[in-house]
Amino acid sequence: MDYLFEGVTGALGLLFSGNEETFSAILTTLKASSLSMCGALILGLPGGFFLGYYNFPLKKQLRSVVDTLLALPTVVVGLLVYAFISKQGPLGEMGLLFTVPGIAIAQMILILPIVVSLSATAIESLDRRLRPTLLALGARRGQILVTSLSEARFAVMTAAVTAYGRAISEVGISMMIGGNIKWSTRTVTTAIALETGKGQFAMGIALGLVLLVISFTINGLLVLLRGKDGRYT
Amino acid sequence: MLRDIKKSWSSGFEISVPSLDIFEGESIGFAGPNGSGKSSLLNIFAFLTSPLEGTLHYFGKPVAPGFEFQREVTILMQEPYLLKKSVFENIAYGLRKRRDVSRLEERVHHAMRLVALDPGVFAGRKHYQLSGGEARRVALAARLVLRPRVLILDEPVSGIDSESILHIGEAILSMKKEYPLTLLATSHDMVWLDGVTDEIMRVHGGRIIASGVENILHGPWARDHGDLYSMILPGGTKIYAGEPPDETSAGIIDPGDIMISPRAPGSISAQNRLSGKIAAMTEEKRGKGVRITAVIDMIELNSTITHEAQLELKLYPGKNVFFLFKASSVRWS
Repeated sequence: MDYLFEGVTGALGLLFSGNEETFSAILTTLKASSLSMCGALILGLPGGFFLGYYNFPLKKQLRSVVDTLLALPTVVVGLLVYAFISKQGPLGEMGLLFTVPGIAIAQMILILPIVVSLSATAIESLDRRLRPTLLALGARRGQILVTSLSEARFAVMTAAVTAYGRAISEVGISMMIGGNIKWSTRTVTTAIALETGKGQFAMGIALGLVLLVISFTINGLLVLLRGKDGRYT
Repeated sequence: MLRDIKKSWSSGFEISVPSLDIFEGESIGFAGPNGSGKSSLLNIFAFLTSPLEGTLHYFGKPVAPGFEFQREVTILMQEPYLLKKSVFENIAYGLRKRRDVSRLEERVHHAMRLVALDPGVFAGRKHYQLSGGEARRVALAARLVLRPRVLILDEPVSGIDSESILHIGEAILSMKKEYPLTLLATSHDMVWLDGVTDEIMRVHGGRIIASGVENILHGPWARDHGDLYSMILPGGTKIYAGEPPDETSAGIIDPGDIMISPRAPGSISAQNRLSGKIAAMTEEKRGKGVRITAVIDMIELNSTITHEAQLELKLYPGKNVFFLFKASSVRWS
């Protein structure tokens, strides 16, 4: 059990000694997951609004598909994206394989269903008086979308944080698309996999703790955004 | 202007308005029991619900998809919704969406003062820091600040404190003084509704069945003795009438057909001798006498009498009186 203790002290050491390799992995992780979350929010919030706000034929079926995609395995996404962006793939010329933007695109595909599904649920659970109120106050379609998402901001931010958590903690995509290249595409999770493979459990635990600290920080920011009495202001 | 408007719901309820003209600057009240179709009618006026049949003209222009004048019409719903923002931002919302933000603060504060909310105290308050009456006034201010051409109010004073009821009435009347606002409102508070509108229309079963302060008896009616039919008030008192078209028909009695007696009458041909207490006495518009509103077995009935009769009978609010009318005075919607 000594390696657990070593892991904790090692994590503190890695964070406070300014270990460049660790910080490179942290930076790559944050870059890839932040890019993927931005993309997922830009595409997913209007998609979630559409799915939650309007009634249209096959809505239930579409909702079922989106909900099913919540359990999308990371390696499947990695494999599909790999097939598209590898040299032989249709998007091979873009040179995205083994790059951070490549990881971000694949992660975005992974977390898009989370943003769409959770924001659709958030919009569906809004007060039914909101729409006629906005219409009565003269809001146009785009303004209704923005105000509805703003009214559901607690649930929407929870969706964003859940999606971010999924992106930051996945390993399959980062490994397949990024290739775990030191100083370039190595993320915290691929570094953990590598260190564990090498039998360096303490290093693996230390990196795991670093990942936890990042997650706690993001959730802490979310709590700070909430008002003193638990409401988003 | 409405012509042959029809809208039906899966429950079987139907709104039907063969013809209705409302002119700019008019204030029309709609009264009727819960479920009579008042709110549905207001939603049609507010363009929130499209009628299935018929034509709706807005100041001469036919209402068609994509019409541009929706921003001239606004509605305050029965239970208004406030955005999760401050009072100031709630009131400024409509103006911001119109990109009409010149002198924004001044206009929002003016609207707040209209509904008797001190901007210094309330502007920064959050939506959840308001009482029911204050929230209703904020919602009204959010509509008044838009200076709508048509203001639609669905039960604006139900379930709120008397101070807020007073301020809401005053705010509407002062807006009407500022410009020719067209007002359409519903309320169960007939005295309040009468105070803010020029004319009251009575709604029953999705149709406008009468206007003015006519008394509406909503039934159900059952055969009583002889040729008479009766309905029973919540306290057990019976009201007699002739044969209705069907048992759920609404009976209408002109207030002028109801006589008032301060004492129990002796032999009299009127079958209806109802004991109640005077709840309100109001001057009829255009000097047509005094309207006496009495509560009889939990329902309100109006009788219109002359000023001379009111003085002779020494009537005052709280006095016990008898309302007398013939069964044949009840006509049918």
